[in-house]
Amino acid sequence: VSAASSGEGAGARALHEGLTRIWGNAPGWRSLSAVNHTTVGMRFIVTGFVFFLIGGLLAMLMRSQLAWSENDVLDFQAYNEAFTMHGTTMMFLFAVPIMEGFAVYLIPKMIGARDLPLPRLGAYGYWCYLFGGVLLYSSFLFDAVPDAGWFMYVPLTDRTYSPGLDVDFWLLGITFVEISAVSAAVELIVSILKTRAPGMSIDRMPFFAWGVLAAAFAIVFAFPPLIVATSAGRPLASYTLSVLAIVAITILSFGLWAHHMFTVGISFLTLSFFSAASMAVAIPSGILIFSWIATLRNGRPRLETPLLYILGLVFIFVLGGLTGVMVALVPFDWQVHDTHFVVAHMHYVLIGGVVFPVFAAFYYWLPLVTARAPSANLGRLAFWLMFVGFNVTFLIIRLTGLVGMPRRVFTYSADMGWEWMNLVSTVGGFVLAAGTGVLIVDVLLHFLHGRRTDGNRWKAGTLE
Amino acid sequence: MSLPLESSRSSQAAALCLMLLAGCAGPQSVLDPQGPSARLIYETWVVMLAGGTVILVVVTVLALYAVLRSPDNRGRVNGKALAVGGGIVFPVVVLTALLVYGTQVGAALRVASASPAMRIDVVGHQWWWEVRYPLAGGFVGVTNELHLPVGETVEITLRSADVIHSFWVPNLAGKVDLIPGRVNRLVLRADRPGRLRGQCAEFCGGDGHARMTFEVIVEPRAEFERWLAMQPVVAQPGVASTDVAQGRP
Repeated sequence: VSAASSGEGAGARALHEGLTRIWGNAPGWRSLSAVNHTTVGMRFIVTGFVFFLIGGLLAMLMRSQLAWSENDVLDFQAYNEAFTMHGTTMMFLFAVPIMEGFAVYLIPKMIGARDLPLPRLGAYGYWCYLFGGVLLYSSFLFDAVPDAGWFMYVPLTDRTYSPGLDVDFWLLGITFVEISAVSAAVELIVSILKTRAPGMSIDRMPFFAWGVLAAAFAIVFAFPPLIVATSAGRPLASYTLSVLAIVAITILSFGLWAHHMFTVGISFLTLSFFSAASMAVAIPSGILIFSWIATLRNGRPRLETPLLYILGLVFIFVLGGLTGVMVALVPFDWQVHDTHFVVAHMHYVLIGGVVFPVFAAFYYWLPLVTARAPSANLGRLAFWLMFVGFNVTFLIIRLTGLVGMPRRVFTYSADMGWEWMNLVSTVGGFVLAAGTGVLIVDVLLHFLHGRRTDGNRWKAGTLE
Repeated sequence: MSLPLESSRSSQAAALCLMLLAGCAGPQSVLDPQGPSARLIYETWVVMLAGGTVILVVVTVLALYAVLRSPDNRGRVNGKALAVGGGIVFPVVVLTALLVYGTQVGAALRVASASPAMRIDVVGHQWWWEVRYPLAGGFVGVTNELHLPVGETVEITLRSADVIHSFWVPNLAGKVDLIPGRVNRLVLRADRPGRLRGQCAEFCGGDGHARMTFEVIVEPRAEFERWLAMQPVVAQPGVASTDVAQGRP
């Protein structure tokens, strides 16, 4: 963009118009070529939410199958496909992209930049993501749905034991999604390091920007503090400590991977190292939880919908963290590894760490997007259905695992005594699904009939 | 009028308790240990469940108090002190203790497995268990059943014929994976005669993974010998007791 030189004002104006032309959305079908971060971010969020609903539908099918022993809602083939696609969808097509979507949408607004520095890369990332997801799901059309679990362990996934095209669909689809994740990460790192507003030194930037900067996983920890701070009407307690904590979680998470391998027969000394690294995550997580509590304690918290989700998150995430410490203890893990206990553990961590913060963030920034006030009652109803349904489903699954039910089994025999536990979990699962349904209705009603207000519904001092 | 209701309520509660207890015991349960390994691990579970419950309750109460109590009726807390105390000091102390405890349990399990009295070779297949009892000049082979003499320390070698499986008898010990091209090792002891159940714990494909179970028959030495003597011996000269890679205890 070349600025006209006839006076400073005219030059700046020409620059502004040039930049607007680049980032503006074209009308009609050409809006598909949009590159501005608001549009791209919203596309990530909406697409991620659609995949969340598809993954949830698969979960409901699995829970229906397990409700009774020797049930035949799904046969083994359909069940194996369902758990493979459920895990893949929730991890790669929902959790990571929706976090990227929030980051792409919010970061430039928070750090005072006009837009992201590499707009075409952002749009490219979105289309790669959508293409990868559609490619993966197109396997249903060719009757080649991946069915070997989302870990893709060999030799179960090699040509001998999985001769069809299902593994190829998985690998190609997820490769495109990963290209998207890497390009979004590059864009966000460049944006945070290079395009902050003048005067915003790195130790003053919003906490969320630290979360995004630290790593995609750490993003999940970055939503709660800011909602906590606004809800409490106070700035976040112990900013420095919290920043160190979130960076520590990111670094530690590189030393954790071997806790998936406690039962493969490697030496106890090696296992002890990874056990210690896994347990150490509890320390920075504890710092974050206690600094939120201190922030709320010293403020005047308003118990509105986003804060309700945060409280739910604290409970779920602490419970998931405690069982995380349990499974990090190597001898205990030898028992519960690959059972329903671990299924419950990871759902506590992921639903507490991703789904509840995302919904909290959703309610928190919705007024910013729509300039309408959200309905208090439907939001609360959705929260309580989800919170109760979630805990009913997954508390009992811990017991199911302890009394011997391995994960990824499509059926079980009636004399194992697992039937009533599975039935309770299934009922809880449908309550959770009903809560999600209420949330969707609430958001739709909000867009159509929400009371007009200004964008700053929560009387926040900043976007955080 | 209210009496029958009361009694039916208490009998319902009793039934629920029984159901929970019945749910905990069982032929394939971590919560019903029948051997030293499983018992040690069960004790770690009880310790961690108690500690974890206390921590969860305290944190939840703190969070609810921070939100629900009227701000005018309470003092302020030092945010940094709470974050340092609750987030650093407390977990460092507790986790260090837990790590030492866990390492000791691991070491105790290893000592317990030092000198096994006999060896059994297990091979995982899609989707069945091959169990071999090595004898001089051959072996006795059976399918989907594991006979153990009561009170004896037994070494089990674990191999896979195809994909990854995992050998798990929760009443006796933790699980160990069967990895193609590798020999893993598990030592266990059953303290009481009876029938238990084991199951493959690593997804191994198809319709078989969910049904890849085996029966564990724990019996006195004499009965075990009698059973073994009734089985046909497969001759296999020269391959009696081969080397076994060092796995975990």
